[in-house]
Amino acid sequence: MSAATNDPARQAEIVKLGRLLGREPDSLRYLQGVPVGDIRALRDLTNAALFDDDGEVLKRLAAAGKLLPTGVVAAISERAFGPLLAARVAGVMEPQRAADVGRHLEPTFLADVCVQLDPRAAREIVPRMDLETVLAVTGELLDRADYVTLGRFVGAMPDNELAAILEITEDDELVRVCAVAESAEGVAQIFGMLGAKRLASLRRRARRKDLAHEAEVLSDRL
Amino acid sequence: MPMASHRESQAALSRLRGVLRGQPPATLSELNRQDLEDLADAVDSARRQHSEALSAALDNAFDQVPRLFRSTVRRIVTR
Repeated sequence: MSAATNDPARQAEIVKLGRLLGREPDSLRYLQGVPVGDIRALRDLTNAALFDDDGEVLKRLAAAGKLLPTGVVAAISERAFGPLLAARVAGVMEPQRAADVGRHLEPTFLADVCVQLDPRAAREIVPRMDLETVLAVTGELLDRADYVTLGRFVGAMPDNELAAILEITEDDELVRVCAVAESAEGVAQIFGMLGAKRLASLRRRARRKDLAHEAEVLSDRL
Repeated sequence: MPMASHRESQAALSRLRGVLRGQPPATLSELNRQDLEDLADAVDSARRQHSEALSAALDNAFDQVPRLFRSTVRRIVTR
């Protein structure tokens, strides 16, 4: 096994596995020598081991939630569920309903939910959310420097939302997010939307020492 | 790898396979016994914590549902 300790993609996978397990990434440092695809496969297995048994209960919760106004469902999510369970329930809700509930949630809580949300569910929910909410949550995650979570949403945004997000994202933040993004198509979408001036600025920024590893991951784009 | 140590690693790998309920990627077999046991402990502990959190959240959620809908919601969720 190779011991590439500075690979941002591998580090991002360890962070995501750590979040799933409630562990600090440092406590899983023995995975630094495991190929990134195998850490992702381990995370998928872990995800199934933790949550597959609860699928039926979550579906019933989502069904019961249909009886209640979206504002009440949002209040229950914040007060009783917490971000992890709210993310799981959102994953089995009708996407439009999940997006409507999201509008009533505080951006800080919604950002916590995004940390746990399955990217496959995000691809259905995010395009149905209003732009104001999407920008508020993106801003919150950027403030936290949570590039790993933002990277999970790359590829889930329609062009109009992505254009607005690119405007509020600094060059170094964008490089860091793209370096850990799970979707190569999503990264292509971002770079396809950047104008010549922004791309030149991004390339200049990526030459700085602190982004060396990220620039290496994105070498075919930068 | 000495035989006893190899056997212990195989046992730890088998336990990890059990808690994951599936075959872990082959490269994980190159981890040592302690690391494999740590991974299995982490998955096992997370599963128990998640189950407890779900149960507590359900109890808590019913209290938040408006009284008018409470019995219907409870019936749907616990049927």
